[in-house]
Amino acid sequence: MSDALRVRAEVIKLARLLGRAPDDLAFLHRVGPVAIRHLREQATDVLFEAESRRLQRLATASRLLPPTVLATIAERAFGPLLAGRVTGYLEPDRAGKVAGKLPVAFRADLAVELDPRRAREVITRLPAQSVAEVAHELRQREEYVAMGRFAGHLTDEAIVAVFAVVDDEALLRVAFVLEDEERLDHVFGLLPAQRRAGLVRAAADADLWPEALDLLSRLSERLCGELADAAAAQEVVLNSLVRAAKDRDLWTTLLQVARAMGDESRRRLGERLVGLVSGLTPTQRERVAQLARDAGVFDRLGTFRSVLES
Amino acid sequence: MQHDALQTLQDELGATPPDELAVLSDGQLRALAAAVRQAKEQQSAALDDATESALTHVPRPLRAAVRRILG
Repeated sequence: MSDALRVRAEVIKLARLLGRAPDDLAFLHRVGPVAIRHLREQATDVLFEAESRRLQRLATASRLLPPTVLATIAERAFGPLLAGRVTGYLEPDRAGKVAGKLPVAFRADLAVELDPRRAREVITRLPAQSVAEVAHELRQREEYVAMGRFAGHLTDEAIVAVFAVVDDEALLRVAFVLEDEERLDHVFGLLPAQRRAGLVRAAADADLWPEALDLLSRLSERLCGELADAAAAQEVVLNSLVRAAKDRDLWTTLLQVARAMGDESRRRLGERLVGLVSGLTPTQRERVAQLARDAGVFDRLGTFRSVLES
Repeated sequence: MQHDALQTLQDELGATPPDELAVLSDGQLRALAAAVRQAKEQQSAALDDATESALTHVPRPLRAAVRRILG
């Protein structure tokens, strides 16, 4: 499930880069997300290298022109795709000044086309408020895949500003396709604790448990435990979580996440799971018991163990 | 056949494609190679047009200097 969604996100990004409809590249669903991402990075590199001399000359010529003129050229002559290509070649401070002259809708268009790896110096110099405006616009457009490309390249100040304008459901959707895995914990560590608890509520409200459990399983044990405890502490959320585990076969991740929970949360989870077991076939029960053993929580879910063994 | 298609994709990418792409058919690999090639062609044509259009927004006194840099 998780991998299928992630492959879809990668296909969308590659298709966008190549100017194709995602359906044209549907055959890539047989390939893993890491390989598609690698392919996209290779295609990005070759597209930039193919025109690097020309893009460099454009950047050089841009030094003769004031930011207002450059903003007009970006918007009226280049459009978001080519403006995105040139951005990485501009002097970062100057690019930031040009960005400040562009309407937010165009900056959002440009963000979708930009390769954050090549424009990192520009991105990190943008005022946090400006980044937040673009994030808000992208959220309105439900451009979660595009947003996920940037999190690893934003300053902490910009990330905090983005959190203020992006709701919990959108954060979950973005987290699922976040590109910079190493920064995931850092990024979500910047989210106020109250908002982190909101993520599991959003998962219940919008039926996003595959995304939420995937996020929890990728966070450090401390943050994972905090979010899992927040889920266990809310009756409605916990009920929604165990239902999703059964209906959408999320047992593996749920039981892994349960390991990071506090004792009381795990006991509450165990109680809810007991209510579900009667709906499972003996084979399913044995499978869940084995997954619980594999996750190291078989003995730690209160009465759930005795029910599974009965 | 698949080897040829992979080589075509490699030529377009200028790099060795990920090994996992070996599960794709000859036709699918060729479709990918064509998509990369066409993206390069479209980008080049778009840059031609954009550069010409950009010059019309450059203040007249600077136009010759900008054109010189662009070559």
